[in-house]
Amino acid sequence: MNTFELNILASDKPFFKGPCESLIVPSLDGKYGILPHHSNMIIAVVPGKLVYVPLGQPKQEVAVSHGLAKVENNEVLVLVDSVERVEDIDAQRAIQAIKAAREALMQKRSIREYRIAQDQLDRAMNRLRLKGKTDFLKDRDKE
Amino acid sequence: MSSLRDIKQRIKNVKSTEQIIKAMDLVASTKLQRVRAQLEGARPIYYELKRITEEVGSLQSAQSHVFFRDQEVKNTLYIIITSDRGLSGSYNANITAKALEHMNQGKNEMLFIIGAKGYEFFKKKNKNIIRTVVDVADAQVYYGAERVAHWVIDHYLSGKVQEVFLAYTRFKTVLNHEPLVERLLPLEKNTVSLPSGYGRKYEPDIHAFIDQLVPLYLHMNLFRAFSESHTSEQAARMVNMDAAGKNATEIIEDLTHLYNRRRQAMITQELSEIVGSTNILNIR
Repeated sequence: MNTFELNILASDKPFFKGPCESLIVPSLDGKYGILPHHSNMIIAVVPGKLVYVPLGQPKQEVAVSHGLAKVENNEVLVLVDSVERVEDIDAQRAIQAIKAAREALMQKRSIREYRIAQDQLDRAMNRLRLKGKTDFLKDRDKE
Repeated sequence: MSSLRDIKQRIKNVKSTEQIIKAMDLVASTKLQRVRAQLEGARPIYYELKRITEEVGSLQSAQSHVFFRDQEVKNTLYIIITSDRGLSGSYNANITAKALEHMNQGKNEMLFIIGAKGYEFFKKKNKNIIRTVVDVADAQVYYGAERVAHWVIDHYLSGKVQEVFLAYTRFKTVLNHEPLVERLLPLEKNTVSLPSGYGRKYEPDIHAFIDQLVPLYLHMNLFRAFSESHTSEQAARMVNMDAAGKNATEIIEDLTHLYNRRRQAMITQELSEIVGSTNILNIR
């Protein structure tokens, strides 16, 4: 079986290390799939769903935030702000974060504060989406 | 000459101080373990990001990017990480002295101080302090570092500063920590020589990639520097409290000896007085 070595590092801890069969990272231009023997490259990662298949195991889906992924000689290194397993996501907290971020976006503040709030909103929405609790997001669209 | 009662009082005082010292020692060592774990978690991603940033900086096509380009320096920003509390030996003195030594090059300095001790120090030196952060809760360090990174990038991009330095204390071992001043921006160029035929592709393109990379790199760098400093602070405090505890034990021992000797001398004196007076009585 063809595999590559995957190493995922979060800001607070090394998250995963081991042989993998495939990997999909969320990038600026959309989802980017990586299979064994991919050509060398570096890619910017944006908040979204990262999917990887460890050798001989079912596929894993995790929520990631900003970062980057590096492919070098069949070794993939993923560096991201945060990595969370779906079961570790606190939906209630994400909903709170969305509300707070939307509140912050409504107020007229500096561009920097706007960007920070936007980032927070992105991250929280991403968590909620992975959790499969899109009802909350839909409800708001109806309003 | 101090009386017996005075000595007793002093022993009591030193003993209660010793209790406090021991408690602080304990607190510092548990805190040390926690922040050390945090530091060990932050280091791997930092080193990888640093390597990638260095590689990018060695590419010809990246050097025109604003984060790498050298500019004429009018204002220099210093970010100095100190502690909020004292009783950590020479920890604060070392880092402030190192930062001060690095300054004074005729450039216009702006200071961003983290920690109350550094603020007091540089205020006395009449430095231009533009921002201070004190009393950072441990839990907020991570997002705090992100905010600081955004703030620094804003200042840099708006042209308020042309150079950014970071002063922190690197944690090597419990007994060995080193104050350091490093340049954050502009990023270092040509630090590594790329192997020939270096054909790595950057997605989406090199400039957009740098725009993504640099905030993350600065954030992680600051977060790691906070952690390094914090760990060093707790280690310094623990070592100092350990030494202070030993000193206190020594003082107590000395004082107890003194007390016992004094008491013995008094008893001997009283005895000889009694014997002397009985002798006089017996002669009569």
